[in-house]
Amino acid sequence: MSAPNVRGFFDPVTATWTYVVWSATDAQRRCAIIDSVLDFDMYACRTSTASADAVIDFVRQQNFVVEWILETHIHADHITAASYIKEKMGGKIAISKHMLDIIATWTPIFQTQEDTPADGSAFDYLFDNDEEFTIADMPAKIIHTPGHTPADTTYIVGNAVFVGDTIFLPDVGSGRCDFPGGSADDSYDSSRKLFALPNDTRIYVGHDYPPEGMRGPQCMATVAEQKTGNVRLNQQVGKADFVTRRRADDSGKAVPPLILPSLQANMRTGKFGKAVNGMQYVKLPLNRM
Amino acid sequence: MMTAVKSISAQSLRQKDLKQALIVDVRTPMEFAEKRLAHPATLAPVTELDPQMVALRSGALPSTPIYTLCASGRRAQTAAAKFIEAGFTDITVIEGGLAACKEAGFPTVGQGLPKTGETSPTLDRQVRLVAGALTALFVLLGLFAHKAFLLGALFIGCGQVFSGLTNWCGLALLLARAPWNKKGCTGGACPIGGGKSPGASCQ
Repeated sequence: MSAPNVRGFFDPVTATWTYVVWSATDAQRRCAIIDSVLDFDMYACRTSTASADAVIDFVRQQNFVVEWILETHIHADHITAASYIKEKMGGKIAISKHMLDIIATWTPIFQTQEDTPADGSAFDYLFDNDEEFTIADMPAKIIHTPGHTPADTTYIVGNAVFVGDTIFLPDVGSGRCDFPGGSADDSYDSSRKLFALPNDTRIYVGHDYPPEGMRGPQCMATVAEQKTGNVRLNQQVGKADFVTRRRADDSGKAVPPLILPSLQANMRTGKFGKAVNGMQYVKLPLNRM
Repeated sequence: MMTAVKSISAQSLRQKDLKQALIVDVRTPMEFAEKRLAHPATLAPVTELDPQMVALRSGALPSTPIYTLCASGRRAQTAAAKFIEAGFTDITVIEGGLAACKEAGFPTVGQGLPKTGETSPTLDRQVRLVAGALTALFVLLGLFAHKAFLLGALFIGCGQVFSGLTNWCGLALLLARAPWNKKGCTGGACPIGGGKSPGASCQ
């Protein structure tokens, strides 16, 4: 089994991990970038690119060729820098086909059907469930791991998996399941798909929310560590218990501050809406969230 | 002999773009809980530092710029040597540690005392407490049991002078290994903790 090289970049504002993944043996030095971040000042409604530029600088320093720009799901807490990175570095932006359900749910709410293709053609490629592909010279596979959202997916690359919000580090738990289409039942089942992987498989999480004052941000725990130590989903926890607790904890929870601009932009790979008189806009539906 | 490592002043560090760097705080979990940089830093106590594990869990590479940080700089030197010995190539000690960083204007956060409800004193206070208690004990034993015990008091006193001159304290390193100073920390990079995370996220 291949062991990909992984470089993580942590964005403290949104607690997001972005990963650059590559193979030590690939002569063409191809890489994948997973779950990038476009900085967004919510109050000024202004974007900036410092987080993405740090990733791009690294890719350039390493003389990598960007092969894939992958999304684990349509993020609700940060805007993806996928389009910005593609513009600077090339590569194919890809996501699971299940994001079509997200588009179908949200574009009527935002009234963005005009500039958000319903067929997902803003993306370069939509993966099927269990589709196998390659990153550089490494075999890779996508598996559907819904729960946090109906479109959450996991990328398996050798002995490393990139899970988005399917599960977090053991002391943090797992992604909330109260977004439209989210399901605590599905979240539990998805965790068991991950636990079926070999114990030494490295699980790279989409976010880290380090418990206050206990440690700094980290990105990885093994399957074995998750099985024994995950505070919500360890092997001793039954499905009914998890679902009851997850629903109770999610009840009345505040929405992520960036959910409205994030969803709109991320359904277009991080681009904002069609310009009107040279200006782009974010729509804020009233009394909906 | 200690491996030679790079060092940087806190003032110079302020001018650096740290987006691609990793700061490793090598103090004890208790010290970390009390006061730490607001900038994200990996907690990896020097007494059980496993450089490879820290890098793996922090998404870093052997070539990633790593800055080691402690209270005053001494433990950071030891940690930096461990990283270099493990094959890491861009290791820098932050001179003067957290105290210098605060002086240089780095924002810090912390609770004063851990939120876990513990009442353990700081490592510095523990050292003073243990050194003072041992000195008093040896003096009393020297007075009432056997004069040879006074050598124990002399040893503790000399140790304190040595610590003051070199900023290296064996007693502190010993105490850092005590169970009450490891609360919330397992493994080389302290991956498992406890407590509560902020809301309004995807958690």
